[in-house]
Amino acid sequence: MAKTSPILLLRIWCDPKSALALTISQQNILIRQSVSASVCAQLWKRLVTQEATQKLCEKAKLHFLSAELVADRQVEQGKYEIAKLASLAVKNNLDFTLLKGAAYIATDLPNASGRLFSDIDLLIPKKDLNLAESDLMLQGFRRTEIEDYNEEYYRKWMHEIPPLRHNKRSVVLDLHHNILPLTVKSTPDIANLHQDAITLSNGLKTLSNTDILLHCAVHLFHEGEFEKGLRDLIDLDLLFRHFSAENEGFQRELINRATQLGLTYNLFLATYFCKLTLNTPFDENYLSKIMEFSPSKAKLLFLKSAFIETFIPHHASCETWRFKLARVLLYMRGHLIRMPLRLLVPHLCRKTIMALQEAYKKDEDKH
Amino acid sequence: MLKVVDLKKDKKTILTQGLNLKIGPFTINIKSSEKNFAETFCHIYQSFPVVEQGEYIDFYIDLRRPAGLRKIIRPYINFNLDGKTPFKPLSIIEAFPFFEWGLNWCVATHAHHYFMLHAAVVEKNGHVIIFPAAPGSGKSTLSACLMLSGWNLFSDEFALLSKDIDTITPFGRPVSLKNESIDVIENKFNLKVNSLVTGTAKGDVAHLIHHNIIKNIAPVKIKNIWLVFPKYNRGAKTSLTPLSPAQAFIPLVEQSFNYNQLGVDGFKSAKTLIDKSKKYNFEYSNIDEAIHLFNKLVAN
Repeated sequence: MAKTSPILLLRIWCDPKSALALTISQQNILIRQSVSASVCAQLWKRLVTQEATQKLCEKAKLHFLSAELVADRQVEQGKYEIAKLASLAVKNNLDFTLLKGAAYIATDLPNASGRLFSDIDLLIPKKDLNLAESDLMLQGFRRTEIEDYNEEYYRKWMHEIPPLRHNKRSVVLDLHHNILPLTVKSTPDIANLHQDAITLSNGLKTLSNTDILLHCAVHLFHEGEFEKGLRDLIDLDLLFRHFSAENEGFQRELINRATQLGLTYNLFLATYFCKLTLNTPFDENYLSKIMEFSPSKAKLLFLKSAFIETFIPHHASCETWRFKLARVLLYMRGHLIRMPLRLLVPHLCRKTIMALQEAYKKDEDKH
Repeated sequence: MLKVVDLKKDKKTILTQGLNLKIGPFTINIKSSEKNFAETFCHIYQSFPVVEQGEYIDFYIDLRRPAGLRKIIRPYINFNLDGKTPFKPLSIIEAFPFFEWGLNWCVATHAHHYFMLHAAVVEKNGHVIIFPAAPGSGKSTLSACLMLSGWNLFSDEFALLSKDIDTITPFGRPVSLKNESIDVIENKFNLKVNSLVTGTAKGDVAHLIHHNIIKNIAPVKIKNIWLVFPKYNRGAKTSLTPLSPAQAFIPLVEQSFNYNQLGVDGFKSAKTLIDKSKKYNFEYSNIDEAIHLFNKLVAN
C-alpha cells in the first residue's frame, strides 16, 4: 500500500529511489513532512544509503545536511551521557536498564542512525528507585519543578517518577520502574523484563531483543497523541527487519514472549500497522499466528480507520478532516486505556481547574 | 526583479495569500491575516525581491492569532513555523519584532552549513568588520551609524561565514534599534525610524531601512577581515586594544550560534577566522570618534 500512498513521505520512505524523480516543490514538501514527523535526518541517511540523493537541489541538500548534523550531535551527546551513567552504575552498583532511544543508541541498532532523541529513559527496580534518585542528584541531576498534585499523581499511579534534569548539561532523565502506568490493565510483571535484560560491556543493561520490540509497541499503542506516531512505527519496522535478519527464529520467539507477558494484542497492532503502512515483511507462519490475537472485526475496522489516518506526518500538506477526527478519537482512546473512568474523570477535572488557575494567574501578572 | 513595493494588490491581501520573499540567502513564505502587521511588513521589506513560484522555500512563516477566545479578548499572536509554534505567543502589537526574532531563530537553528556568529557585519573599501557582541553592547547602534555614514551593512545580527572562512554572505535586513539608540540615531542623522513598538520584552524596538543595507548578493570573498568586540560604556574614551588569538577565542565562540552544534568543524572555523583576522576590543562612548576611527582604519 505504501508504495502508492498519497503521502509523499511514506512513498519515498518505502521506495527511496523514487526520490530521483522529484521536482523542487516536491522535494520541499518531502522535507517539510519529514521534519514534522521528526524523521528528517533518518530519511536523509536512508536516501544516502540507497544512492537516491543525486537529483536533490542544493537547498534541499542543505536542509537535509543540517538536520543530519543536529541528529548526529544528539547521538554523540547521548553516548556521552550513557557513558557517564555507566560509570555511575558500576561505581554504585546500580541496576540501570536503558530503554527506547538510549537503548537503540547504546547498542547501535539501525533505527538509532539519525534518530532525534531528547530524554534518556531508564528502567530501575522499584525498590532501588529512591537510592538511584539520590545518587543521580549527587551527579547534578535535579527534580524539575512540578505541582504537588502532579507529583503525587506521578508517584502514586505512574510507571515513572517526575523527570530529572541535569543542572549544567540540560539532559533529562526519565526514571521508570515499569513500562506502563500502574493503571493500565495489561501492565506486565516487570520482574520478567529484568530477568531477561542483557548486560552491556559498559555495565548498563538493555532489554532483550524481543522485549525491546514489545516495549516499543506497547509504548506506541498506549499513547494518546501521535505527533511522533509515524516515527515510532518506523522504529518498529526497522526493529522487526533487523532482529528477523539477525535471528531466524526471532518472530517465533516474539510471539512466545508476548504471550508470556500478556502483550499479544499490542504485538498484533504493531505487526498489522507496520505491514499496512511500511510494507514490513513477515513470515507466513508468524502472520497466521498473530491473526489469532486480532480484536473483533468491528474494533479492528475502527482502529484501522483511525490509525491509518494518524500514521502520517502531522503536516498541513496531508491533514484532512478524517485526520482531525482520528486524532480526537485516538486521544480519547489513549486516556481510556491508560486509566479506568473512576480515576480518569476526577483527574481530568483536577487538570482543567489547574489549567484555568494557571491561565488566570498569567493574565493577572501581565496586567 | 519584482519587489514587494511593485505589488499592486492591497497589503492585507498580499499577506493573506502568502508572499515568497528573498531575504539574504534565504527564501521565506510569509503569511498573516493581520492588517497592521501586513502594512508594517510590506513597508519595511518594500525593496526586497519577490520570488517566483517553484523556487525552494526555506521557511514557511505564519503570524496568526490562536483559535479560541483570545482571538478577540486581549488578542495575542503566534509565530508559526510550518505548522509548529516554537515560541509562546506575544501581544498583537509586537507582531513585527516577533517576526524578526522568529526569523533569526529559524536561521540560527537550521543554517548549519554556515559558521554563524551573533554579530553585526559592515564593509568598506573591501574591508569587512565583524562586531560579535552580546545584546546591549551597542553593536546595532555602532553598525547603524557606520551604515548611515557610508558603509555597507551586511547584517546587524548575523555573520554567515562559510565553514572554511573563505566567504561571508550578506544577510541584509531592517536594522533593529532598541531603547536609547533610537533617539541617538534619529537625532544624529535627522531621520525617522519605522515601526516603533514600545514595551516589548526587549523594551522599545524600531526598525530602520536604508539603501546601504546589502540585500541578496552572492557570498563575498574574505580578504581583509577584522574581528572587533565592541563595548559601549558611558563616558569611556575611544580605545582599540589588540587581542591575542587566545584572548579572542572565548569571546568569539560565546557569540557563535552553532559552535557547539558543529563540533570539531566549529573549532576549526573559529580557529581559521581568528588566524585570518585582525582582532581588537573596542570601547567607546562617543559615536563620532568611533566612526572617524573606523573610517581611518580602512582608508587605503
